[in-house]
Amino acid sequence: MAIYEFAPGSENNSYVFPTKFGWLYTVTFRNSADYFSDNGILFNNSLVSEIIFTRSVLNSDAPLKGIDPDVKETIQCILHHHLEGQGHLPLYIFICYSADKKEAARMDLFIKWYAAFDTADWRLHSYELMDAGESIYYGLIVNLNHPDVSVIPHEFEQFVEKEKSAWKELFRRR
Amino acid sequence: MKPKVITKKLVVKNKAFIDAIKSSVSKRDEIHQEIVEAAKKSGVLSKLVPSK
Repeated sequence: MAIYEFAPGSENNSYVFPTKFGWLYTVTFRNSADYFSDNGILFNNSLVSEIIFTRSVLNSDAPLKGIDPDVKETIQCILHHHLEGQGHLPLYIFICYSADKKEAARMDLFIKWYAAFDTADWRLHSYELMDAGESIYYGLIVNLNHPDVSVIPHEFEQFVEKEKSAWKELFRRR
Repeated sequence: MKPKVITKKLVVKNKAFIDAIKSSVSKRDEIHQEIVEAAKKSGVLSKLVPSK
């Protein structure tokens, strides 16, 4: 197996790489602390990044079918390259939700990749968030050396299960 | 040894949070396209394309 060459993207903390199968991938670590702006522990001094993988067709040729093992190797390399320089304080989140109804399979794949990866002191909390007949698959990655590691998962679970409607939030902010 | 992955199911009651997630996810393709276009314009992409 090999690793595709990748380069930083135009968005902060993003990377781009094309594949020989004819796909173009971007990996983005987007600041997502705003999800938790009213929760000090989860807001984590704004050190919350959402890991986003997206792909599109590289050019007008139809992409090759089948599994490309080099994609996994490349994404793992990018994760390692990025996380290594960020220390143990950030929280990382990973969200699988899409119109194509393949989010459960994507989360399974991410968990497999994660389990096979040397993640050192990082732990993945994988959640199926059930909302009105559909599920959003949500990963929360926390370092075991984070000072709040013992409370972050419980805080997140309470945050999700606490009733709060969008209009109440809007009203509160005025 | 502590497990690397812990899984759980939750029923969402925090609608503001779930709406924020759905709104954010819907913008992913747009951000991806911006990065792709910038990589094409800068010439970076042509240097990365592997031979088949």
